[in-house]
Amino acid sequence: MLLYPRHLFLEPTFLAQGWQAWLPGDGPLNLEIGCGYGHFLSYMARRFPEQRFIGLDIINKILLQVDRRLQREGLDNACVCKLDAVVALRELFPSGSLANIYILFPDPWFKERRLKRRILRSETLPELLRVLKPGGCLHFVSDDADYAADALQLLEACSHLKAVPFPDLETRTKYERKWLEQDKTIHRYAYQLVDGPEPALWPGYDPRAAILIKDWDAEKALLFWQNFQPLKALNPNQVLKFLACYRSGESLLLKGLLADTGSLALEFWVEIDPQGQLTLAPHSCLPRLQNRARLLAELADLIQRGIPKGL
Amino acid sequence: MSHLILQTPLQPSLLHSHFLSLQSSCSAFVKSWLSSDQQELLLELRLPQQSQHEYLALRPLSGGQMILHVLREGEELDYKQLQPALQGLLDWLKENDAQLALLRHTFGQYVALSPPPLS
Repeated sequence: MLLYPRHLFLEPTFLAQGWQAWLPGDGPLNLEIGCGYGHFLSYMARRFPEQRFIGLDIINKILLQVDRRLQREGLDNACVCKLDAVVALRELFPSGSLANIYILFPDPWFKERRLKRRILRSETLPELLRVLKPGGCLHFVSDDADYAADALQLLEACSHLKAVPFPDLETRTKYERKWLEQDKTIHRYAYQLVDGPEPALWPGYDPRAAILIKDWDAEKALLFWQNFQPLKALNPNQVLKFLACYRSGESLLLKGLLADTGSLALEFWVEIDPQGQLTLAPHSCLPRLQNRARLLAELADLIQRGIPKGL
Repeated sequence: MSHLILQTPLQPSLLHSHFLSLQSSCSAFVKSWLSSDQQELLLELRLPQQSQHEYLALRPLSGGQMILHVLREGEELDYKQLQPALQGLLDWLKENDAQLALLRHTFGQYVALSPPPLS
């Protein structure tokens, strides 16, 4: 199964049930970040049919291949998602929800100025630990000596983790086979979370009304937009900005952009009905979990500030 | 981003006011949205097979041309699924401007639209 953002941010069944909607059952949930061609993911799903596996990647062409492979092999305990890992970790996994995280041959981002794109670094480690359940394991494998050394230093310095033997797995990913043929040294680390937050439940979502726009004509809507558009909400890690405003009858449609530190910016659409109720437009994609209600609340405040006096 | 270029003097605000006639001939279109500067028309579309929503944006260019593009990021689009709606939209535009011409499109070789692009 190949899941796109709309399946994860908009699908009512997923919003209500979480991963249960796409991967039924109560088996442990495992995540592979950067699943590539899916050799490891399909191997694990075959070997551990009682467990559930999620693969993340951002290259659609490859994900389509993985999806075909999973379908061909009848592996309905695994799925792949086209999503940035930082966004996925933050928005799609409650605290303590994962039994294992696998990061196999991640891009080492050699250049100094691109080191911040590495998936395992000091800024992302807290989030990786948050989503692991106590006793869960973080697995890291790399052929790049520098990245492996940095990762080892980071993992060793973390008081919540203890090193455990890397599991004996018979599969080799495409890159692993390639590096082994070239006699490269492969660095394999596994660290277990010794303590962590109590597993959290899938959270709810409660939109709230914002403004009354009934009887607004085109002129009033334009006045609102001219006043509102320059505003943006800022907090230390996020920028929320609006790019365009559309009107249909008595409803407004706002096109927004949410930029988070260290992840791809997300474009989203919010519809405001004549009663002032904010809802995500059907095409939209917006972070869920902890941030979603807060973002809509920030948006509501922003809109209030954007209404000109006397309107 | 997939787009098509039309030769037509039609303006978004005029098309917005005629939207009901598009909806009556092609029920996939559910709503039209006019931008605050009246320079862009968003056509909200529901594709029946996956009950999936798309937005098509129409915006005038210089030289009496108009561009239509699909507002979709990050996902592959099934153009074949979109074809009936695109054709319905072109037919409707042609009703509003008999001289309308399709100059080119990037919806792939498997999408046949009439009138065909000028060679």
